[in-house]
Amino acid sequence: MIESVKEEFYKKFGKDTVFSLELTKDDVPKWDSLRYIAFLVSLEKKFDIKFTPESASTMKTIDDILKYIKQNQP
Amino acid sequence: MLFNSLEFIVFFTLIFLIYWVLNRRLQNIFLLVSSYIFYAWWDYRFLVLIIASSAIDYLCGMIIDKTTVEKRRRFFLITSISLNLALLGIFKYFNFFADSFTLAMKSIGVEVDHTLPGILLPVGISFYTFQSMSYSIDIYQKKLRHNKSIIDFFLYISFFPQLVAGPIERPLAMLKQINSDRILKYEDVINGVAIASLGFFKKMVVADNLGVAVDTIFSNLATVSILESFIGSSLFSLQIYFDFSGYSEVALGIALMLGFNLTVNFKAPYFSKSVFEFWERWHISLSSWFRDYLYFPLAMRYLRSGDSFLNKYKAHIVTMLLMGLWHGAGFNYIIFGIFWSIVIVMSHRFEVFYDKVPGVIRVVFTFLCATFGWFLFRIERTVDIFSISSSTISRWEWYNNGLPVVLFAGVLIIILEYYYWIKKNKNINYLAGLFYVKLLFIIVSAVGCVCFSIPEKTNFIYFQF
Repeated sequence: MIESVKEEFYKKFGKDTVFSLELTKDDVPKWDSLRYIAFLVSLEKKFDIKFTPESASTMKTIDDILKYIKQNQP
Repeated sequence: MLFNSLEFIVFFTLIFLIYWVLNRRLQNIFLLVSSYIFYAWWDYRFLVLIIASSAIDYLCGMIIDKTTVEKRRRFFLITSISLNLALLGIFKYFNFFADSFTLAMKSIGVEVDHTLPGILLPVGISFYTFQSMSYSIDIYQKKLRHNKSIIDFFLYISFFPQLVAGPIERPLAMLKQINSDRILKYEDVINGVAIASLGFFKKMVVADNLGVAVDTIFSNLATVSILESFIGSSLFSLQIYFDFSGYSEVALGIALMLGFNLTVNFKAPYFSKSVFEFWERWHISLSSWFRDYLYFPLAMRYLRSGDSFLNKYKAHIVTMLLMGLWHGAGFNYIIFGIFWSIVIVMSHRFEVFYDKVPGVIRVVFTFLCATFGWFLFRIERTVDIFSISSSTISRWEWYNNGLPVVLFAGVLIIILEYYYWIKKNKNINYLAGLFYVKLLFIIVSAVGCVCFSIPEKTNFIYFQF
């Protein structure tokens, strides 16, 4: 799962930042609202889940996103 | 009651002294009554509106929380949003739409007898209706449970330090503070005084003095030179920043003296390297409100249906247009929204090139975009854009000898903020820990406010929104 998330992360935010679970918006220069939502939507397709808008505003780190995917996967 | 008035200083001193001898329950009742007095100072009739807005969301929140039937939950969420927007629509936008309708009819030769009463704009309505709505939305999204104490909830909507111009607080963080005991801490009081002093200095010394020059330039746009118009617009960018961030800091400071932590609303916005960054540093409590409650849901919906150009940017465009309208009813606010939409979309499209531009130039570019945006705010009528003189002869009639001193003080503050928010990336209050520096700072601010403030009592710019 981490590998797939990592792949999507690099696709959306570029390879300037080294991927890690602790990364937040402040650590990734290219992390803006549009890319963030595009990142979540691409993960939705990959893992067959749906992020809610409120989850988008409460998740702060990559780890939070991974936890959400684990909890909501079919 | 304006923060920058003697009556407010007396009002707050009395509150501060009485507040800290009461227990939490009485403190909350006392703060609620004080907040209503504060608001009624403008016009007692406004109280009906704030009580109505609070009651709508107290009841809707309660029903949404109690019921498990999704249809019913959704119905009461829509009720809350519709009623709040109706309040805003009637009191903020009615005159604009009535006037526009009359004008449109006139242009096709139909005379409409416009005998509808002019509706007075209640101060702060855009701030507290948004704060109130977020309560019902958060309960609907199950982020929050209904707050049973009606006093505590009504206080959340009307807490006087942030009632009329924000920061727009979220219910989760604010109600938690209202529901907990506050402890009188010497450190908080002195920090609060220091932050409020900075706010007063920004407003009374920097913003108001810049305002004198700005007012002269903007009331003579047809005669001043093009260079002077540009200088006037740039000075207005500084004025609106010092005015609004000054207000926010007074709010933060006095709330801290009462044991509350409010959201930081500005983090050195004029040092942003892109327009995206600018909106993350300017009026943070509003832009994050729009991001969480409007942009995220819309962007998710659009992007799920494909990543075409329109799907990518539709959410940005809708958000910026509504953000423009949030500020007021007028064509200039609509143009403001359109302008920011275009700038944001273009910046994203040309990011590859933009990233190669040196940082200083990106900061200047972002400042110029902001300046044009504020220029649209400042002109009273959209048609005034066409009256700008193209003359190249400057007469500098707006200039006075105090201006360089005020600008110098302003620049010093901006540099301090740059160091604080961007270089150090701190998230705590100013000057924490340095007692003597704080003391000096408070004295300098107080002396500045007494000696260099302008004689006229001025409103805060954001009170009109």
